Amino acid sequence: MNIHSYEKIWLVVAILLIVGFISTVTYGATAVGIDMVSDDGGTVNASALDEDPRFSDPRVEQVGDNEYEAYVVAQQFIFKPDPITVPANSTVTFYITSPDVIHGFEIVGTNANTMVIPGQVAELTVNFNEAGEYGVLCHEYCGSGHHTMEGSVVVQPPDEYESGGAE
Amino acid sequence: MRDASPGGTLLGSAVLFVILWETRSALGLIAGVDTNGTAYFIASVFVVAVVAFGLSVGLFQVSAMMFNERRS
Amino acid sequence: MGSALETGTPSFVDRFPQEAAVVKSALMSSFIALFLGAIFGLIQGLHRTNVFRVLDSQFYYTVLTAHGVLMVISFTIFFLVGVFTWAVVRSLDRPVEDIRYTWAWYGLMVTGTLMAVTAILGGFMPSVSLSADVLYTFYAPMQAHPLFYGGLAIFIIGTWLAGADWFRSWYNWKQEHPDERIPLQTFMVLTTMLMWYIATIGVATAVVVFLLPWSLGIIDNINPLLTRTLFWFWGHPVVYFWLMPAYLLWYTVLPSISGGRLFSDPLARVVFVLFLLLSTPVGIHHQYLDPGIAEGFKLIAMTNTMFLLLPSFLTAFTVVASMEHGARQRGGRGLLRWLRALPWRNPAFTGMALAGMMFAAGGFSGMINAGMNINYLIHNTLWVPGHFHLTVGTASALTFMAASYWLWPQLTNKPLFSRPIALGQTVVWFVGMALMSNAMHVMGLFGVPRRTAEPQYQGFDFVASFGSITELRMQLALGATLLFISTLMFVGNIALSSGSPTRSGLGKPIRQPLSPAADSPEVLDNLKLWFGIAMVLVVLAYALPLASVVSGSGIVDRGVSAAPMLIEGVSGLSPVAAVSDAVSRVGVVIVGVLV
Repeated sequence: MNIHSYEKIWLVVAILLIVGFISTVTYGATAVGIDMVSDDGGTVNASALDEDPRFSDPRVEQVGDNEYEAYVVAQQFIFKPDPITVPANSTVTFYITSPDVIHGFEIVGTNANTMVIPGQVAELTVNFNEAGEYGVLCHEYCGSGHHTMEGSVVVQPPDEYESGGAE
Repeated sequence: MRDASPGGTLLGSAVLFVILWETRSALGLIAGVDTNGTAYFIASVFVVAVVAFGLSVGLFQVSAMMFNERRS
Repeated sequence: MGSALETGTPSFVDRFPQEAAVVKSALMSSFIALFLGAIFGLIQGLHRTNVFRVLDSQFYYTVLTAHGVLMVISFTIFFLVGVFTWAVVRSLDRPVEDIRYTWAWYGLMVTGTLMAVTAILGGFMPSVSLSADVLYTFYAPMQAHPLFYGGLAIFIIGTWLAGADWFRSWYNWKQEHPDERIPLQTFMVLTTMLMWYIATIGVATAVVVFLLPWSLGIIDNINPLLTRTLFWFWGHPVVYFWLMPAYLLWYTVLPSISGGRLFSDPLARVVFVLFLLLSTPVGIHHQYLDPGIAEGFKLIAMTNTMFLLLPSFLTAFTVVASMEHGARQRGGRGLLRWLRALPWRNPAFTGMALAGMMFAAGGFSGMINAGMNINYLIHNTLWVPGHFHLTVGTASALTFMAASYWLWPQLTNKPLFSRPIALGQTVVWFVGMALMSNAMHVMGLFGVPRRTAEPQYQGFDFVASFGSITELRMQLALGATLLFISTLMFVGNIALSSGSPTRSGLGKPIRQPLSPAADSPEVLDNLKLWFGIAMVLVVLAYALPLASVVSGSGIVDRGVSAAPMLIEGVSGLSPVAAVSDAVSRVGVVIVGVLV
């Protein structure tokens, strides 16, 4: 088969580019330890969330030194709890599920982003550094009130959090 | 004798405007340079209009003259 | 009307009048869908940017469902079956085996479309329980009326029968030409349809085994992650179903329009084989953020996806090389000066050239989407529609429109109504899309979500790193308006062409490639081999993920109940009342301005 020499060069460039892309993404996924959303969250009975100790009472709980777990329920058309209050300089693992339809959960302006599928639990670990307030929105169409579905994440200075700001 | 055809001038103007306009996003996102939207838009339209006018009256040519002379 | 053969090249309708009638009908259906879809697109563009809201926001989702289905199911696929019928008949130089069969599959496609669109438009009338406000992706547990799922199923069966029609033509041609290579256009059609057969396994299973019976009440529960995964099994290769007709036109028609010949037939075959192999085993890259799917499966999907860059890169080379060849045939010289010699005044050429240019940008934003970790920044934000309006919205749509300027006269023996308007149309599309898509990409980076009627929230503001969100909204609205105007220019031009006088000699030949089929290894034509490998790759990519979804949450998930998408208890006006209200408001404004 006759391949023009310019085309051979082009082919090599294309393959180098592809291999480059795959390498950088794989590096990000493995070496740097950026965790993707996976099946680690497990499954849950979507019609019996009030019997699940995590989701019957959506809240933030401390589980270690600067380590927290946040149990979040996304449903038409709110996030529970609202606001989600966490302390600064902490690592928070979110467990998010839905009792009704597929939703999205995104902390606006960040890459803390996941799908929320009824029957599945989305597990997402996020580092919070400075204090501040972030919006949370649902980005997956979930019904006629989808555009009203918002929440917030409030990151409090640690002393303020200790003195009872948490829910 | 005009060097650029009317179709080519129209095309080139559209492409030039798009390149100029997209550069604003690049400036903002990569270089962090904030630009006033309305002012930038007017400036882009003005630049494109000048280039289109120049091409259509033959004020300047569209080809890469240097390259041509070397290769011919 | 028989004067056509006296002077000039006979056109397609002269040589194959019955087939031309089917092709014309398919293209007409496609253009009608485009026109309706464009009206809905304009409504969306003005609504979500808060520039002009004519409906209550809950109807936005009805509009959005209609826009999605009409554009990427009806417009694109009707165009595909039209062009593919033309390409097979033309390249094999033989009529279809049975014209009644051809009309039958076309009729099925029309029936399916009408069913689905009726269900969707029912969403505008809350008093009727017919609706399908589920968007083009129809994710369970949101549930549409069974008419919607039934319509989609019938439409897809129509496309399957269409593929069988073309395979039959090729098979019978092969009996008469046993030692010849498959003509290039037919080769492209067959490989595309093989890919389609594999791809539709996913959506057909989701719809026929789960969603349709569920909507009819035959089964009570479904597993939303399973049906979602089956959807995306199809949801990625369908974009190649939209692109491959555009590639067919770029490879086989564009070089002749440029005044030259296709640079390489063998490489065109390689590209299409690569698409057959790689289009389907990548669907999980649409589910990077899904819980319930292990990271390893997502990584495999990612690597497969990155390799999909290869056939598009090869296409870029071949298409530009063919254009350059054409330009030099027309007298172009120099390193870059040959660009001037291209037929920029020909709207068919210009449209395809602009579409190709935008596709490069769309391809790169697609690579960003494919990056598993970067994807987290832009998933489900407005960036994603920004990306796909460049690819299906320009590479496919604008190429289809440009090709129509070239093909329609050959189907009707009537010249195009206005060449300057056609040329202007392609430029307006290019500028409108650049503005709209640029705004969408940037807003997506700032976190603005897609699929949302009112992305203006109470508790927080989007932060723009330059300019402002308001400016970006204006830009999006402006782009959407330009696109609508461009659509009107296109549809109007084609419609007005029916008033042109019949002429002969409108046939346009397609020249042989520079490097012919004979230059390539015969194994390329071994469709069974490539189909087999494609199936193996799909099984490798999907068997374990599907098994893990089923073992994790069951074939059906008894904990998940259906959520029928009906608009009940409308708090605002019904859409009919809302539209007449808006019209009267606009009327008051106009009167106020004039008086």
